[in-house]
Amino acid sequence: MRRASVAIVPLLIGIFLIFWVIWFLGEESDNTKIISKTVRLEDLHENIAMYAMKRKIELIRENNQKPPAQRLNQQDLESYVKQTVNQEVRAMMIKNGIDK
Amino acid sequence: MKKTLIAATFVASVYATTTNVSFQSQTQTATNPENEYGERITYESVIVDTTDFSVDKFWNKFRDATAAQNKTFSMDLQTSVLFKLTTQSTFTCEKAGLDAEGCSGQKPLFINKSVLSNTDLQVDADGNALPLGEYRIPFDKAANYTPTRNDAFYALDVYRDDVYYTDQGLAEDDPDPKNFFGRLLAFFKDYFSKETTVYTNGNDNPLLRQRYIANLTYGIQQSYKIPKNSAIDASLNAADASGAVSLLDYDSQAITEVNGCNGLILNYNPNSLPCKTIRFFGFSNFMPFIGDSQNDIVNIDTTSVLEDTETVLLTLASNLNNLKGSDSYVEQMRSRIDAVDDTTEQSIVKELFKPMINMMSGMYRFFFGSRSNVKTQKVYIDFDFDIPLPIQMNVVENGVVTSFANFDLKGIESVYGTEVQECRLYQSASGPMGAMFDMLFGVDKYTVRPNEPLHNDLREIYLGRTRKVLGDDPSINEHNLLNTRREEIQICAPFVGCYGTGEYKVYAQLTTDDWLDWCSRNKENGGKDGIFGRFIGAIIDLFTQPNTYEAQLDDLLNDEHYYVKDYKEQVHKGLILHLLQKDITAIEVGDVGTTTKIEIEAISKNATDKNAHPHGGGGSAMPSGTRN
Repeated sequence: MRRASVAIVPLLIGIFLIFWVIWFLGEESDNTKIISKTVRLEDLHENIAMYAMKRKIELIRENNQKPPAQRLNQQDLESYVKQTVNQEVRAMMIKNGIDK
Repeated sequence: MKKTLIAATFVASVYATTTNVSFQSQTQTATNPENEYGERITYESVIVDTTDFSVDKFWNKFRDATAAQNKTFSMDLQTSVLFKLTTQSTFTCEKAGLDAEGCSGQKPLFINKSVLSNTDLQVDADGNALPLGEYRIPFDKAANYTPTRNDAFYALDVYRDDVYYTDQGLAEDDPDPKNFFGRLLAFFKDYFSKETTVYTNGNDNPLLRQRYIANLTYGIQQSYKIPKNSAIDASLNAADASGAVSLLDYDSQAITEVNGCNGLILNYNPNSLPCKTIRFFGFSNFMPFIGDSQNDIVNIDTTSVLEDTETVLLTLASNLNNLKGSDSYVEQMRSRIDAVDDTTEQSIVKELFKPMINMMSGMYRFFFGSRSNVKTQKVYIDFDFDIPLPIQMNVVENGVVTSFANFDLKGIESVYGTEVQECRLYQSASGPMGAMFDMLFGVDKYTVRPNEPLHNDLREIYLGRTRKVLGDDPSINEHNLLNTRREEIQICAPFVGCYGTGEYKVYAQLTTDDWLDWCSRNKENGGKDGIFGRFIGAIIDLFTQPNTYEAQLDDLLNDEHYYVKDYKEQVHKGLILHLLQKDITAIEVGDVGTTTKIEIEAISKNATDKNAHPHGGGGSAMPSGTRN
């Protein structure tokens, strides 16, 4: 063999290592990213649940403070609350990059 | 490769991520509606559902594009959070207008269990039965509380853990004060002296504690609340021997009279030399504009637990109903004032606008006097709210708080009554020299008190002699409504015996009540009629004959020159609350006047894997499971 062809071995090893890095570590890095995003989503869910509960109580209270003529009844109030909270939550989630 | 790469990065996921929130009420609410402090508990769960949550797998793009592996990681995540909501009222005593000392939360409200089954309290003012669940419960002095009372509610000082309730920041021995004033106090004490006296929350001052009532509404200041099944020690409230529940139970005003000198423009201090001179020489009797009136200075002392209670209730009730877009309660009251008759109008106005009416009546009196003779007044305010004021009372059975009674306040009734304590009067000789005569030779002074036997001199007044039957003799006719006694004049001669002459001496008989009534009407004699009223009164008297018992009595005693020197009367006030009992479940989250505390009871998650897994392919991380 020529002296120069000895260099092929480290070169091949290098290419192999690159493949290995991309294949293995890339997947792990993807997994890590997935885990961190999912954990973030879980946290967001809890915060949103808390926010939704508070907001619902606020909306009910506001409704009770209106004069009787303008007050919504039980059913209308529920759908109004649900609609309002959902709108707000979607906006929050879009800002957080979860919803699209 | 590059083109494929670029294309790959632009492939967006087909499904959009969406997050939805929904609410679900829980069955636990029905089984456990209140906690140990009588606060309303509700359970509700919130479900947050994110569908098609996707994360790009970046490095996967460098692998074989046709491999059946996901380029994105996709899942659904659903989180269900169970909340426990504790609802309590936001209205505190301070918002009602009392100061912090007054609202140190030392006196929760108590009723004995037997009160709720007492049918006497379930009738209205006319004696008709009230609808089911409505009560009219009087407010009784704390000193009268016994475990067997079934006819009143009380505001009691009770021990809890062997201490009084204290406001956290001002506790004397608190080594680590929790608020600004506490720290300031601690600083002063450290820097100056441990003996520094600071006005605290009336902890050591029984009179001050007597005064204030707090916790009229349920909730808030939980450190002052009494948990269920805790025994109460009401021994702090000194027992009253009489123990009677009366509607007229709180002494709120004492009216005292002081002799003085009223001029047309100037009022002389009773202790000043000009005034003493005027009275000594009797100038008042013939100087037209100087009056030696028996009533000039009226002291009204209105501190009382009752007044504070009423103030707090009215203020809270009006705040509560102060809805956006509608009148507040006080505004509604103003329009109601126009609709009621004179007596109640006066009272309502007097109560709501007290300082103003005092000034007005004082000025009014100066010119025209006042001839009111009203002894008892009843004022009631019926509320007609969409949102009634909630009141919670601790129900006591055998010395232990076993439950809580929740009420809506429907109305307040105040009963006023005057009760004479004492009247000192004297009889003076008439004429300009009369006053000096009195001074030199003294006058007979009498004291009349209710429930005491009347002085002999006051029992009868000699009216005159008559031959005729009473009613025909004009000199006696003017007193035809009074109680009289006739005594035949007898001439007794030795050896002959006594025989009647046909002439009678007539005496008017007076009782203690007569005298006391006269006192209360004439306590302002001299000054009562004011400057002009006196002349007009005299002219009117010339032309009319008094035709009521009181008028004739007044006339008689006037002619006999009786004057009121001193008059003491007590005004009692009683408070009755008109309440509608309601179940704890009638209190809902978000009711006006409540705050809700939110606690997380449980969290559960549910994740759905939406990735297609190739046979034998590597797995990816997937979160799942429940967590408490």
